[in-house]
Amino acid sequence: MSDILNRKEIASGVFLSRITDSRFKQNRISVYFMTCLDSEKASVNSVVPRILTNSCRLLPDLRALNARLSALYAARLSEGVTNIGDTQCVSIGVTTIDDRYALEGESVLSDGVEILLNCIFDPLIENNGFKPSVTETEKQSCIDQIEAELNEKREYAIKQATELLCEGEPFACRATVEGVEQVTPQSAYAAYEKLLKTSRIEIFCAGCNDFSEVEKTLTKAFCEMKREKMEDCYSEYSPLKPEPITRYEELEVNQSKMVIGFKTQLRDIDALVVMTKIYGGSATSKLFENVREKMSLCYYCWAKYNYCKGVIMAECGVETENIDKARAEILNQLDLIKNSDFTEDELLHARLSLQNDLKALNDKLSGIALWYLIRIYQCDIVTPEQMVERYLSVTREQIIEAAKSLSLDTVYILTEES
Amino acid sequence: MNIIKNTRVQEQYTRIKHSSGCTICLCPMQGFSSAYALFGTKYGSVDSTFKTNADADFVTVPAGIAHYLEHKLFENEDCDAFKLYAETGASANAYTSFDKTAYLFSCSQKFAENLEILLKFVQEPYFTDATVQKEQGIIAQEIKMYDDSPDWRVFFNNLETVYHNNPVRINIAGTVESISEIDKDLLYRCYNTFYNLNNMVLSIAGNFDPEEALAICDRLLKPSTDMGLQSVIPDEPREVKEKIVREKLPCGIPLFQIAFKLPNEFASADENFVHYNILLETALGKTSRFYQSAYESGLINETFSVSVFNGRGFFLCLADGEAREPEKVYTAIKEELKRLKQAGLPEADFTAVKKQTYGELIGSLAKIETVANNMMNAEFDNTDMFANIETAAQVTYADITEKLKNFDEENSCISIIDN
Repeated sequence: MSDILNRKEIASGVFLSRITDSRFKQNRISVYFMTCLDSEKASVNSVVPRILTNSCRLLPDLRALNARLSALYAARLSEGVTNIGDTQCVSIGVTTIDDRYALEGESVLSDGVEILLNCIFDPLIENNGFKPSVTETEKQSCIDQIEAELNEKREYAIKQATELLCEGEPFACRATVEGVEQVTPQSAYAAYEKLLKTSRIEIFCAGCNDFSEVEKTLTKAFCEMKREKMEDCYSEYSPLKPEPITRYEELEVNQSKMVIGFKTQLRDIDALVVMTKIYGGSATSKLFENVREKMSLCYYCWAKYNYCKGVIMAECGVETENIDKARAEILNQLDLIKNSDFTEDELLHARLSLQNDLKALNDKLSGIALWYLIRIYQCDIVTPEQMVERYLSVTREQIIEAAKSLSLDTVYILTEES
Repeated sequence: MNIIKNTRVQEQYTRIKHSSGCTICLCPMQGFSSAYALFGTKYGSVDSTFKTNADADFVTVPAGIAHYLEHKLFENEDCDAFKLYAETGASANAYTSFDKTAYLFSCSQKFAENLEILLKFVQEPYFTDATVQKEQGIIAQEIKMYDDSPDWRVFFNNLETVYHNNPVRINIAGTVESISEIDKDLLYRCYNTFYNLNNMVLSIAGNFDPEEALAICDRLLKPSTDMGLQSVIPDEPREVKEKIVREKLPCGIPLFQIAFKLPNEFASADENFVHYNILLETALGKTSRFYQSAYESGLINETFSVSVFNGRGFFLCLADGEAREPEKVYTAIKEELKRLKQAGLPEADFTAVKKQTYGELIGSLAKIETVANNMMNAEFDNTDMFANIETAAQVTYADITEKLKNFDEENSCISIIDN
């Protein structure tokens, strides 16, 4: 199936995929470095891409780099670190408008790729480490981001619940203030070299260009790297706790947040996706219809499925005095699915909603690259349209089995100070 | 019917003043999988005092009513609109802002059915005491959720402190107390005033057939008589009300937002949005000398950004982000603006920012939701979707220098959230 993407290995352990679509007005090149997650990497690798996108030898300070990007019609250099299951994905990418829109006939795409390659391969180096002042600035920026996680209570609650749910597993490793404080220019540089040498590298070129020139440039650049044996990254399902746990955290808040985590060992991912949609994946799902619309307990009440870890989390914001009522109803709605208490309409609506979500993915550059990255990671390379067909063939019995496979593992409640 | 074309970007769309009174904007986009439709009214939280030809006097309604109406309109006599959309698989939503309310769907199939659902439910209000009462719990939770959000609080505290009278200073969703005063009669009154098709726009972009869309409009849009709607925004002094506002909330790092108050009438000049964005980006944005030194010294971090916040009857220039010492950021920004007035803006930075702004606007034309929103917003502003692109392509260094010369950095306020 890899011909969907024109995916090829351009250097040892470096794979390049091209997705050309004339409807876009922009082009996006994303480079993902995939490595096995652990607590040390969680911190140091969250600083590395920031350092790389701060400056490079060619554009030696933030202002020079930003001015160059602005002059390329808001070319955007992006960086990020996400966990896909137990694997850490460090990403650096560039997005540019297509050359045909340049006011003065500039080669925006190839100039953008040149900046990207300079950032990846030619950073500012001193004494076998990154430039100390850049390292310090980006460490601080990273610490600020970690400390600011508390600002968004809903996301904070999900992060705290995830740590409890998957305690001790790589997936639960997050960058910490202490971890980032220990990063030195040399340790960051060593982590960067390791990413270049041993991580699996997936590159996506998506947009209206055919990327044949870009492929030549990228192939040349990545072939010059010294690669070692590529890391083998995979995820394991999260084991169920012997007994479900409930944890409270107190904070000065007006509204409590509750996250209820379930676990499965079932491998029927398609059935679990459809089941989650019926349970809490849309504005006609069981959770929305009952916990919000009928009982007026919440403004939001959703369920999300992480198929790499076999985890489903139901989350809501609720008045403290209504926590027990909401928890009982969230559990009750799952029991109803287990007991086949859902209508043919509910099943149909879930399928149609999934169909709509997946088809819409094709209309966004960022959505397409991430879709295929996850598909490649799952060794299940299909188009969104092919996935829709699979979801449509999931039966009622499969959905009931999927619901029955879930066990309550963790309840996390962020609540007002008593 | 007229075709609105832009030769620079080689794009066009169709604008129709429909016999029902509604304005329809259609932009079919080849190759896209989805269609995105918005049915919007020029009615937002600022429209709290109004009258029509049928009313003897102006009426003032409780805060949060436009938003409450948006929630309740989804419910019709037999079932709610979400259930109807579920039959087609479309993704549906709505939003209320300061000066507009819009109902939307995106779909990759069954476009005609979805458009019918949208046009029908927005034109068929159904409120009872029981359904209105039921919504209070849900909206109260929505308000409390935002009360816990430092990003939201830093912004609204700022608006309350910058403005003396302008209703933009009041939370869009109202308060738990104000929404308790809302009943079905008030909802009907607001509905009948603002959901007149002469006050509304239907905007569609992406994968759909314009002829089919128009045939559905002909069948379903109910002709409305223009009722001479007047919405009053009270007079507003030019000066900010206070210079600083501070609130304690749990947060990792203090948040700040600085607002520079510009005269309300600036909101009605087309080019101001683009010009002031370019001015702010050139002076304080990522390419600027200020940003580099403030970022490297740790005064600001990557969350720092500048923007223009404008709408019907309000216009602010904003600088916000997280900082351990927000007041120092405020002082540094004011000093930098004063310095630039003397030294002049670096022309190379202006040129880079001009291209950046133009590039961002071009990029947005490839997103169906942005195209649909831009067509609708342009219609409410009596302009067209390409006006900003043309402004960005044509702006000169002299235009921006002139704006800086008249910029009053002291007529400003800082809002801070810290622990």
